[in-house]
Amino acid sequence: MAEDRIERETLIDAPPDVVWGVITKPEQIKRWFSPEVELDLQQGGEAAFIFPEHGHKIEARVVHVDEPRAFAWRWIHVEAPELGAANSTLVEFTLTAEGEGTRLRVVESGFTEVEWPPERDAAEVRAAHIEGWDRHLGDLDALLGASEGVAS
Amino acid sequence: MRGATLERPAQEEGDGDGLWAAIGEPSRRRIVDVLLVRGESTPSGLAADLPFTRQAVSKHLGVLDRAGLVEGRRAGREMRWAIRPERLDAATKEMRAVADSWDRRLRLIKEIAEQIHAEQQQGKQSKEKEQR
Repeated sequence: MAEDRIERETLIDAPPDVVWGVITKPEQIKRWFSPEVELDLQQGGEAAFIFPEHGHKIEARVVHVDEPRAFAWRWIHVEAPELGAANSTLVEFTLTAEGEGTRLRVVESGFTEVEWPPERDAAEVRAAHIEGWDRHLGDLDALLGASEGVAS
Repeated sequence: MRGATLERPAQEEGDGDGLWAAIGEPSRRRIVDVLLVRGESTPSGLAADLPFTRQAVSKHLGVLDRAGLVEGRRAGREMRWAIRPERLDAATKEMRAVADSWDRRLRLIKEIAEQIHAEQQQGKQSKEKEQR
C-alpha cells in the first residue's frame, strides 16, 4: 500500500440498481454495517452509523450522490465541531455495470490529511472505532457463514 | 514485516494514528523502502538514492521520527537513520485492519444484493407462470 488510500472491489451478480439500494437504503445498510443508520441521501446530507451495544456513533456527511453510479461520504475519525479534511476520511463507492452484474469498488482515502491528535485518548477512540466495526461485522459474518460459500 | 520480535514500549500502545499519517504518504514510503534495503543511511545518502533534496529527506525523517518509525544516532557530522521494525509492523497491521473491514463489508453487500436479485428473478418467473 504505497498510497494514502485503500481500494477494494467485488463483482456482484445483480444489476446496479439492486446494488445501489443495498448501499444507500438505511434498512439495507443495517445488514452490512451498523445496527442503526441515519441517512439523508443527498449532497451535504447528514448521516450517522450507530452501534448501540458499544455506545458508539460515527457521524458522516454525504458528499456525492449519482444514482446508480456513485455514492460518497466523509466520516469523522476525530471529535471536532466541524467536519473537514483534517478530521475525516472519504469513502467512495463506484458501481459499473459488467455483463448482467455490477462491479462495486470502494476507495477510502485521506488518511494522511487527518490531523490525528497526539494524546492517547483520541488514539484509543479511533482504535475502538475500528475494533467496533470488526466485532460487529465478525458477528454478522458468523450469522451469514452458512451462505458464504454460495455467494463468494 | 514478518518476524519483528521486539516488544512495543508500553507508552506507545494504542498510538497507531501518528504511524498511519507518517507511512501513508508516498514519499515517506519510498524513504522507508530505501532504509529497509540499506539498513541504515544518512539524509545525504537517502537524497542520493531518491529524487528528493536533502532538506526534503530531513523533513520526512522528522515526521517518521515523531511517529516512532525510525531512530537516529549521531555519526560524525550527520545522523544515521534506521527503521524501527516493530513500529512499522504496527502501522502496516493497522492499514490491513481497515482493508479487511472493507473486504468484509463488500462481501456482505454482495451477498445481500445477490439474494435480493435472486428473489426478484424468482418473483418474475412465477408471475410469468401464472400468466401462462
